Amino acid sequence: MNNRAELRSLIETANQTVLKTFQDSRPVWFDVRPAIEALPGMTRDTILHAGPPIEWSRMCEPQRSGVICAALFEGLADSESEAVAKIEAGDICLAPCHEHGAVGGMAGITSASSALAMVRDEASGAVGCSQLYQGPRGQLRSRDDYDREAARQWRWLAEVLGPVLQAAVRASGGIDVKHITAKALQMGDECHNRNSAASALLLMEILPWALRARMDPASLRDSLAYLTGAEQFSLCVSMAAAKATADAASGVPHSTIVTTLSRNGTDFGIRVSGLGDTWFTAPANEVDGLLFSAEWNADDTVPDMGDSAIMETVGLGGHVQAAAPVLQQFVGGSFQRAVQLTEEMRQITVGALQDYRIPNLDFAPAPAATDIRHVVRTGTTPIIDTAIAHRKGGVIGAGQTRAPLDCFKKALRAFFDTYVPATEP
Amino acid sequence: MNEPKQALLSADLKVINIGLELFADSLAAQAVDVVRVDWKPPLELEPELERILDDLL
Repeated sequence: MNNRAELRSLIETANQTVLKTFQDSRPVWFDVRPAIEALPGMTRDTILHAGPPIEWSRMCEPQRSGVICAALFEGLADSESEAVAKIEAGDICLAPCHEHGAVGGMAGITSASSALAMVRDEASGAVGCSQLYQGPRGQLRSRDDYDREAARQWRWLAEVLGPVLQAAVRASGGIDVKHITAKALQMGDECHNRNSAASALLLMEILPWALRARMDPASLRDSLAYLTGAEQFSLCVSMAAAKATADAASGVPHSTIVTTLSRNGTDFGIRVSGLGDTWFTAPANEVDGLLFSAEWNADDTVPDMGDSAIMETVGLGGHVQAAAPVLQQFVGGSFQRAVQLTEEMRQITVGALQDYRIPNLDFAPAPAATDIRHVVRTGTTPIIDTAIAHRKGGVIGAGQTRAPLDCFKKALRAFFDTYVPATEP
Repeated sequence: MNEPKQALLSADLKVINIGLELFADSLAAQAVDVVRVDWKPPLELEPELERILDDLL
């Protein structure tokens, strides 16, 4: 066997190992804790953000204002100018959620006291965490109004919802996220932009345990009122589950499978199992979609942002678009287009998830394990379902975008340089 | 000379659509049978990436 044939064989074996990790994953929601307790390497003066690493000067506006809000909320600074000075001096550390075992939706701002959903993959032991924060809608009149409302929500999540969910989840002995995801796919969710079914199913699981927990009645009432109206809430838990799964699949030598797809509103970043923790980035694309009010236009939006593409990383979201054709309404699409997108994803993945079935495709399994080789060969990049953020903060729309091809080209070159010695012809 | 063309206009259309779905969708909406062939022009890659893919795939 020549060297190249041997390398190809090693790649195929490694990729099947990663695929099996995705297939065997058994994510269970087991706790809710503040970030300072939940995340490895977290400190009081660290503020985490979505997407690949980025310098303060290149951060998009929603992330910058979120970081300042978090610094004030955590008591790291007394004013905006002091917060900025401390960030620029390195006294407040900025880091990606992904590098601390976490993921964060949209701007992804996570600080020491943020309440996090903790999910363990029982098959591998890997733990993934996600903030519970949903964020105020983008209709607030000014940045000050937005910041005040965001701070109020952060405090409420940390002091009210977090403890209620912690008591309920601990009392339940753990909630089976895989079961909820599989069921939700049968009920019209793709578990990224549409979470109506999964959120209802999750509420049904939590409710009896929340009622049994000895929480004060006002906290319980407010928490259940919030969860009843939070149609996207399950995404926090699904993202933590996907993060646990993706981290379990990371670091498999020779694998060309993507283990992170993530965006910070400026750059899109990917990581590849066989290349460890190295990021490969390219400018984030704009999102094609529908804005929720005629008062906004494209100039109000920021490019693709958030760690929620962890769902596509593990074969959900855009990969199973055909399970949720209703989302095509955001992009003027059709049922046929939804089916076509899922079939496209089959061209760039190396297998499928037998536990996740798509009713609209005669219960075909979800395509999973995106291979950088197939992405570069076909020019087809993952389709990402996503929300659209206002440049001053808040979710103002939803739609779809694509991962930029350049990330995959950079990763492929790095893979070749890593695994093919320079002395080989 | 014109007979084949006239026959084409008078007979039922049998269409093969290659690539862009938009054309097939339009015909399908007019109750014309269309066979769809999923195709797009091959991506032009940098020669260096072509070589890498030839080695790795």
